[in-house]
Amino acid sequence: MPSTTVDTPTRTVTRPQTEDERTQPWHVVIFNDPVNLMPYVTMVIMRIFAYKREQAQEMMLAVHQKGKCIVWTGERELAEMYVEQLHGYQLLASLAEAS
Amino acid sequence: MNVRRIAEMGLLVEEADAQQLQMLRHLPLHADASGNPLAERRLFPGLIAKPDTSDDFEANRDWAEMVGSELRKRFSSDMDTVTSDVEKAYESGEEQWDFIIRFDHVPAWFSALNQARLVMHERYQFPDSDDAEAMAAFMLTPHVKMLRTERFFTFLQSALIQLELDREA
Repeated sequence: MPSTTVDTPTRTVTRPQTEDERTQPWHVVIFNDPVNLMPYVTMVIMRIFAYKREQAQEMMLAVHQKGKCIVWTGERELAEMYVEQLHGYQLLASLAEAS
Repeated sequence: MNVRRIAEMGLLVEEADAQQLQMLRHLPLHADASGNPLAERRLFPGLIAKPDTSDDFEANRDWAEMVGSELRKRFSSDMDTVTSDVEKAYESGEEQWDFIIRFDHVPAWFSALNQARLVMHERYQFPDSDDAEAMAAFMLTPHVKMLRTERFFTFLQSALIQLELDREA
């Protein structure tokens, strides 16, 4: 398959982390944008997070209606991997501290 | 133009006309974000959406260096795949073109069509389609042709997504 899928976390992009940063949860947030099509956003969420279609659709609608949606929360390295995958699909996504 | 799935093969694009194929041949030009900082930022966003600490800014610099450069290569490779598919189709047709998008090329098509649409939105600042007044004003500008091109890319991408979702269901 040419592109857009990263299977395993290979790195943590940012500088060496403190113990707190390693252990505290991080959110993966998808933001609304006027270009990405709603079914496309649903498909990407299903593919990356292996959510069922109904759950992915709920998240997509939250992105569309509220402007953003937390789609995953957990350790930083995995969160970065998910953001990288979302950027690979050209979705507007970022990392945010869960605290 | 019609798009349908052919089992075991891919997605068949039927009866593309000369104008549609020409728009597809211009995909790399439409997707070129160089010289447009807004489009660059949209295609290659940072890790932290609203950085406000030195750590956040450093994280975004690292992200641009490591992930951004990787994505540039990947998006470029996706565009090469699509360009190759389109040129093969172009060489085979006369007035109407049928061509197959192999299943393993579909992600590259999503990527290439999306790259073009994202860059075009930043470059031409298309109005919200629900805003009738803004749309009417935009229709009088020289960029209206670009809106038609973007709508064609949207139509094709929508068809591909629907077929993919049906396949995954």
